[in-house]
Amino acid sequence: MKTLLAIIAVVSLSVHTGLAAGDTDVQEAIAAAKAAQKKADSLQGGWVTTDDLIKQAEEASAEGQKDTALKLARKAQKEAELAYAQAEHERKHWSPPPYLLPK
Amino acid sequence: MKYILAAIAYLLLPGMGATPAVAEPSPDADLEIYRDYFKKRFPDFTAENYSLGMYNFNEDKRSQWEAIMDFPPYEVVVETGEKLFNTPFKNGKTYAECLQNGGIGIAHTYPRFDAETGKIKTLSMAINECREANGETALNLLKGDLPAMLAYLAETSRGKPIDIEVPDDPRALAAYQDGKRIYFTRRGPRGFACYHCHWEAAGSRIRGNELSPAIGQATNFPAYRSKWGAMGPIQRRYKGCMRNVGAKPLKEGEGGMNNLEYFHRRLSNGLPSNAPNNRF
Amino acid sequence: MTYTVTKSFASTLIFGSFLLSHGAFAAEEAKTAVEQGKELAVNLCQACHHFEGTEQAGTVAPPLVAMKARFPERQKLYEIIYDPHVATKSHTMMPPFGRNGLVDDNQIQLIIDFLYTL
Repeated sequence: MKTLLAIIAVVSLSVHTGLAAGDTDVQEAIAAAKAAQKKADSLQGGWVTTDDLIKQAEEASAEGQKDTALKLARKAQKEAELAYAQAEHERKHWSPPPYLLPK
Repeated sequence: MKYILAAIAYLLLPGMGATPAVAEPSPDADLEIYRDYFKKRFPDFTAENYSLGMYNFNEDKRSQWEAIMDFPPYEVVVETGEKLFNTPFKNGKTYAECLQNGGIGIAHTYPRFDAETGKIKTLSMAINECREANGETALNLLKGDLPAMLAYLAETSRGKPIDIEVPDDPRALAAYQDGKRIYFTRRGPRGFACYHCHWEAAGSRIRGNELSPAIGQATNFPAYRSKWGAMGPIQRRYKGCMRNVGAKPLKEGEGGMNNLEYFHRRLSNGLPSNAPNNRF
Repeated sequence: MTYTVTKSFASTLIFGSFLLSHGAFAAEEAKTAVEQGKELAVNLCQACHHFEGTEQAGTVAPPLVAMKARFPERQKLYEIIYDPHVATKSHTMMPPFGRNGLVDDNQIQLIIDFLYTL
């Protein structure tokens, strides 16, 4: 009986903690954010806030705040993707404004 | 068949065969367009006005600046810089032996295109090259002894017209074009390019700040900025500007940043160098 | 036994955070849409645009006035705020507030609610 109760305890506890972010989820999210930032940087297009968000995600992860870490990492990744999209568009379409072009 | 395939492969190489519909204007043609723009915007502007920049548009700030210029903080830095510049290396050689005319009266011609490397070289880089060639370590480009020496060298060029040359060399032209691209590229979450604040918006205000016209800005650098509490080169200001718009700044002393300085300083060609200067 | 403890612990957490978030929201709910929109406009738009109620407005952009008359189609105003580079097909300095994630759709609607009072 005690063994059965112990098994139920372990299983329900892991079900409960499984609702929160797992360690691998957080590490993967941070790695994805860093990769996205590297891509944006490769086009000289990174944003300042993204590095801060990644740092905060790593700090939250180190403190065991997995949900916060995941949220921050995903926000950082989204930002870096927007930054890259803008930089890529600019590479193809940059131009002086009409008033600075030859007539 | 082999030759057809080779031709196709050649055309597919990046940049090859991708001729622009309209040829890029030459740097001189650009300069004419740029000067015309500000002649129309500010028909009464003298060389002094161009150098005054944002102080043209705010009486209060201009008087504060004029008061500071009675005893400008940069004078102390120029003295320090002169001493440093004239101090020989451990091996007995001097900076003067590395630089054209001993470094005197040349600052207004930098950055230059270096035919040996095919890249742009700033005066700061030339100073560091001199150090390393004589067994000394390179100095930090943005703070400390190097900007101090830069301030002294700039002082010896005071009043001389800025003269940034783009020689007839495809590599120089490519560097100029790269700098131009960086200048006109939107960056940061707000998508601001350098041109957004300093052309159409020159003379207007964002938040509490009046915006300076692009032509004339470079005449004031290196500058002692109260915000820094120190003398700094123009690349330090470029970095601050980029951070202000939320963009990760380019690295000082490297390709993109040097090309940007090459393009941007050339905008002020012909205007008397007014460096070092003070800004708050 | 363990499962019951875990369940009530979880419920307390969920209910507690619900209370907290709604407590904060209750303070927001007291503000009307127009008031919320004004707060956003003062923080985001005043840097460049003058409008009634600003004290340190910038001058780089046109003043915001008679907005309902000038922009009767709400969707058009939304598109300008979301991405003016596309909506006005120009070299405009105005940031793509929506596209670059500076505001979300709900915030744009609140800003428009405020703009329509100008």
